[in-house]
Amino acid sequence: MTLGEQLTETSDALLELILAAEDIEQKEKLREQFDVITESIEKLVKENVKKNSKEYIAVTHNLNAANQSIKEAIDDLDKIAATIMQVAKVVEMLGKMAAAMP
Amino acid sequence: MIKKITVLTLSLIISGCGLSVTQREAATRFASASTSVGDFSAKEFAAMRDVTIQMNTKDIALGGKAKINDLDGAFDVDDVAIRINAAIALSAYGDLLLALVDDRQSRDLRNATMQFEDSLRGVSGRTLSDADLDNLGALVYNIGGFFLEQQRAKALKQIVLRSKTDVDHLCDLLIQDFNPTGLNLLHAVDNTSKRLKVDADMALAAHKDNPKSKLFAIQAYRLADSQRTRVKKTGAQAIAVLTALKSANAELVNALENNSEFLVDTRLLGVKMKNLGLALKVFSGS
Repeated sequence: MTLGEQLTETSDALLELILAAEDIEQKEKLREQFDVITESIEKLVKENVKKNSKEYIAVTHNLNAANQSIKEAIDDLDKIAATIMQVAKVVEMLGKMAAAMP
Repeated sequence: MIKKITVLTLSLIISGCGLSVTQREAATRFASASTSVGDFSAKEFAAMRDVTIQMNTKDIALGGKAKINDLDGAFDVDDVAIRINAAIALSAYGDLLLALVDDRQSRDLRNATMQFEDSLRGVSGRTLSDADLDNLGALVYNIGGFFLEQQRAKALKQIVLRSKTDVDHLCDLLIQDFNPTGLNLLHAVDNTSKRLKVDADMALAAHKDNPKSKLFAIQAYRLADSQRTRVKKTGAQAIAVLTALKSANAELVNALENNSEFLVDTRLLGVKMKNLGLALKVFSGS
């Protein structure tokens, strides 16, 4: 079981006990323990989020570079197609000239 | 002569320099899923931040432990923006891969070739027969198509192989954020909703005789409850989709590198995307 799962399980159990407790004093006592767990989770989450943000930035940079490469590849394909169509035009003109010859 | 060259170019194309049907399918399915996952993630990060602020606001109004100077909790604007940018980059990657695999240039070429044939047919006193013109058109189209397909396959292979690690790493980061017990963002939503539920319960116990306060506490309790259910359902479905996206990425690489025709996870990806969509639809009204 991971630390996150353990903390979740403990806070779930405390939550159920608080909801089941009948008087407010009992709820408040359990609440103190519940706060310790939820605050620990919050602290760990904030640390992980900050740490992962750096990794997100690096991976986004690389993906944006890949996206630029794809755009360039599509441009290249367009250029190849345009060149072939130009060649076709030349062949077309040659065909017309050949047909016009006696 | 023209017929012979046409047959030669056709056999060159069939010999496999372009993308195979399986490679094209793997790329298309993976690309569509990447776009959907990117779009979903960007929306969810923004929605998670909104609901966290909403829950913390209610918590403070109930006299709970949320902090007025930290309403967004773990969802600092900068951290959320970083994740949304990553999700947008993944979505754009999917869109661009789809555009790369799409054979728009070949269709343009086909149209140009047909115009070319029609133009020559219109020449009076031509010496080439209709069959010769057909073959000449096919020749231009096939040679052009061959170069286009060869170039397309080369570019796709290079880009997909180079990006595999980054796409996998992004999926891992998203899996951490969408894990309800992963000590990351979705876990933060769950934590906030549990605190609100406790504070709503305490408020209900403390204000038994005040209908207005009771009603507010009940509404807060209901919001906390619906968010906890949403966390569990969407978290599980999102992890299933992201795990499948990683497998589809591996299958795409395998299809491009080894001509593998094995696309089990790629084909299941669509079903998992559908389940995630359904889960989101169920909660969009809550």
